[in-house]
Amino acid sequence: MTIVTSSAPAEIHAPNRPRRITPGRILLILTLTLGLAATLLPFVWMLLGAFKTNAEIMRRPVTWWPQAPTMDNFRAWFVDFDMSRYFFNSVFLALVAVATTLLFCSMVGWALAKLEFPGKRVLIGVVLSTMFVPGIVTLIPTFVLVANFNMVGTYWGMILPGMVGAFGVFLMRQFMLEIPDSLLDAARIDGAGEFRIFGGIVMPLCRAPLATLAIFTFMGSWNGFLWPLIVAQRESLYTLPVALALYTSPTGDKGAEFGLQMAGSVLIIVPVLLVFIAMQKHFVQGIAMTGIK
Amino acid sequence: MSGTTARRAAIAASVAAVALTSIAACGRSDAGESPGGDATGTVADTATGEIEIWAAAGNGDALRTLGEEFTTENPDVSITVTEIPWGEIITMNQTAVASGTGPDIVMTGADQTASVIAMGGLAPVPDGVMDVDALYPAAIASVTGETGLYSVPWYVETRFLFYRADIAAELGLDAPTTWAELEELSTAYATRPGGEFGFGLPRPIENPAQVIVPFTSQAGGAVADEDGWTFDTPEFVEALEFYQGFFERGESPLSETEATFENGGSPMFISGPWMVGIYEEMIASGAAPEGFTQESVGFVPMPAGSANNNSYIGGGNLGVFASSDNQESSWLFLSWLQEDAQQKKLFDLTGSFPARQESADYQPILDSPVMTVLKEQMPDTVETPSYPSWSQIAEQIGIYAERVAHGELSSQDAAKAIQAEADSVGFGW
Amino acid sequence: MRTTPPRSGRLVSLTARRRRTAAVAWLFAAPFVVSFGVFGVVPLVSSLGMAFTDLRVTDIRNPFNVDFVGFENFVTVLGDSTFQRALRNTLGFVVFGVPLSLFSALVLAVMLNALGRRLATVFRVGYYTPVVTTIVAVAVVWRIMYQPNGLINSLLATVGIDGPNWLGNPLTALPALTLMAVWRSIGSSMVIFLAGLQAIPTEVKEAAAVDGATTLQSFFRITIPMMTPTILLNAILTTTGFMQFFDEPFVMTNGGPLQSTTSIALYVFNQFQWGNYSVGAAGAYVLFAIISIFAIVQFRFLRQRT
Repeated sequence: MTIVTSSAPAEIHAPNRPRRITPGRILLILTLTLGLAATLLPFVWMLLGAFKTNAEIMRRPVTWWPQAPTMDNFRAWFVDFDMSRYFFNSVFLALVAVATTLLFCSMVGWALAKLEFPGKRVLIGVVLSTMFVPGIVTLIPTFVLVANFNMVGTYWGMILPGMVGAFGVFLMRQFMLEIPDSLLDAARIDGAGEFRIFGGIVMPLCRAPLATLAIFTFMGSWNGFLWPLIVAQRESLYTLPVALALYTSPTGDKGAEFGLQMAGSVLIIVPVLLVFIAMQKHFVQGIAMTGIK
Repeated sequence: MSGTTARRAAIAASVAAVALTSIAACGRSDAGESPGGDATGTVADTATGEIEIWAAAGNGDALRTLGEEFTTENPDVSITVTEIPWGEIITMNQTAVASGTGPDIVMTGADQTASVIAMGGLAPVPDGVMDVDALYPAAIASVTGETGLYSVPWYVETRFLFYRADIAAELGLDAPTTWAELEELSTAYATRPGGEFGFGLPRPIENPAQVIVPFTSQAGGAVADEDGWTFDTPEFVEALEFYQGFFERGESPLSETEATFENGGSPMFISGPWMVGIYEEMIASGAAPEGFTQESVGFVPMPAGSANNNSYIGGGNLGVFASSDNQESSWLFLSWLQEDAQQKKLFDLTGSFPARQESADYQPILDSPVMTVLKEQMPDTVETPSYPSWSQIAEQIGIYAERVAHGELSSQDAAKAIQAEADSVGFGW
Repeated sequence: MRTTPPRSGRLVSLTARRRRTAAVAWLFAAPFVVSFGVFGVVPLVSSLGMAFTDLRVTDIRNPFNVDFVGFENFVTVLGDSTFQRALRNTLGFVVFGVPLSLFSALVLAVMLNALGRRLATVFRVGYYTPVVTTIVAVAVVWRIMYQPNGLINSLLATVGIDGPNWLGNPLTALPALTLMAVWRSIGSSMVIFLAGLQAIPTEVKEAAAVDGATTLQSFFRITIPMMTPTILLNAILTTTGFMQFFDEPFVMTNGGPLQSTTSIALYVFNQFQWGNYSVGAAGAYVLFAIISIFAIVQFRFLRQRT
């Protein structure tokens, strides 16, 4: 096979020339930093709030730096509150979601992008339509369906409806459209089968969109609240956001626990950011697609 | 290509045809069906099997503890408790009823019970489960459906007036006991040097029906009778005027503000007993502003209008899910929870006020100043209108109250408009 | 799809080839289509059907025991003054918010693309963070920032501007929430644009530079056209997301003040909370229709030109 593909562009930086410190560059970094500071402001307040007592958070005028810093909120999460079960559920569901979504969506996205078949337009239209309807409308019918399959209160019930996200299909299709046909035709001429082309050429070229989809799918699953709550029906199946809502909600003899909420929110964010950092390494300039002239 | 277009059109047409034929197959039968079925069940002598309970957040542990005690007397039963957030109770009941799968016992807030009754999610309460006369009338009203009682009140709560006792003393005023005194104190608070607001009422976008309905009752009226809604009445208009008056005079903030109770900017509000604990914590942790001590926190029953000083009743109700397969044992458990000893135990566990009136004669309650006020207020309560359409109408009240508070509409016109909306929606059964 | 005849000498008929391709295509699509057919299409069709009946909370036990009412719910919805207000608010929000969000994300992605690896990582994570935060937690912060004497007005005061009561004034509440929504959404679009930028080979840009094109020319003549599928993707995603504007009005203002921030999605949600399921469904499908129109327009406008 004489197809030139590169599956290891990881060492290449973009752009591929020595970086000089130009005034333009400094201005660029400065602008980006200012924007970043503005963007992160609410998050910083939240982070600092995790170290404050409830009373201090409610104080007006607001304080930024904790005047009476406390680790009580975090201690409550790790010690008083058994996170392990909910953490496991969240991780498990998120990993399954990412694996299935990446596989299914890339396959059907490929079919929709580069293969011709009857019903293609209808399929795209129907898939996209599901994105256009607010989730609350299909909530009850979906639940009734899951109940009819006896999947309420099981992991299956929590996984299956999430596997049909139109977002992933559309994302993969759009990226795959950019793959040059000449590359594919050359492979076909050389006798490669469609599955071989898919696995050997297309997927390696799709590192960036796959990483993107992984990030979004992980985040969607990890932050999911309503559906896991409704389907789980047993505390042993609850995920972290559900547990967070329960643990911090006001009851008869206490008000809303802002400190716990802030600390909990910070804890929930951390894994998603870690996944993001890991995945965004794949946003690398692809020299691969230029193998064919 | 005409071929594909024709094919696409054919597919669309057939999908539509299928959808429409299945809809056409729908149709209401004339036979009326009362929610939850007609027959009232029976109560078991001893409980057996499994009982699954959906508890609202914060009540899970109490139910587990009480459940364990119940199991020692009824060893053949096992009780599991799942906590769900308050805000999702309606949604979870919707999905449970729609699919026919659900728990055995369902907990609802006093303002949610009517909706769940309307869904057909609750079974009627059999005779003998609860002693209706022993409970607060407003609590009984919150579990009443069109054809009977559908849940058992478990605990109750109500709101009363909190005010800055220290500032009032400085101004030479006592705790208000009437509307006039309330207005006087509010104005005094707002106009004092360094003062900002006088009364932190719920803002028009924060469900003001929660105070307007009690105000209506205090003025001698009600928002509904057996035949329909009664908003176009002098009492409701009077309540609306009273509410919006505080905003008109600038004594209540219309938007987010930095004025709080503890910094004296908003020295009065209506709330419940847990606020005492919050302020205790604030003072103990040193986060309280200068001069704010536990003595600053004053609380008294609601000031009276021309008729009474009714406040809103809230609380938790426990009912048996209509599709439950273990109803007899569930009723036994609920009946047991109603007993005096268990009601007192509940207070020990969560600080929730017993729905059983006599259980309030309990030393820890009597010893607590704030609980004593709660006890005093509790008989003088009015329930959230227990109709499925209430939340929709409460929203309309909020919308129109906001327009009145902004000076866009008069209270009379608002009352008429709310009446019109309410009439078009009905009770929702 | 162009197929050149195989050079091996064996003649395969075009229809057989097409049939085989179609079969292969369906094989690829099968896993998704099967699960989608069950969990995606069925609830969609049944909720659409709901909109043509008078299903309410009291019917939930016997959902087929309802009457067919034709387009009555749609008439009710479109005639409801609250819905009309929600429609105006939502469209205003979309018309201003989507271009702002897309443009900012694109500029951001291009800027980040010009940085070195490590620096880019820090900025990418930072700008993505708002996407990941839970609305409830950040709502507290934003409310504080928008207070009449809060952070935003304090900053405006330093340049001599007397800031309004953002969330309390019916004229400024929607712009305030728009800003908040844009803040939350830039990160996602940025990530997708970044991924899309990677598909553009450096050789092409370098060739253009050699030919004397400036950065700006290169940007508009090469980068943007090559990014068309990605731009279309983001346009549709962002528009769809913004049309379903719910979190901010629900958590921050409950649709107020004076209905200035109520949205269609909030309207639908309320109808479901009140048990008016069929009316809610009708409202949702009106929203669906509007989003579809936007999508079709965007598909036409941003059709991939090869």
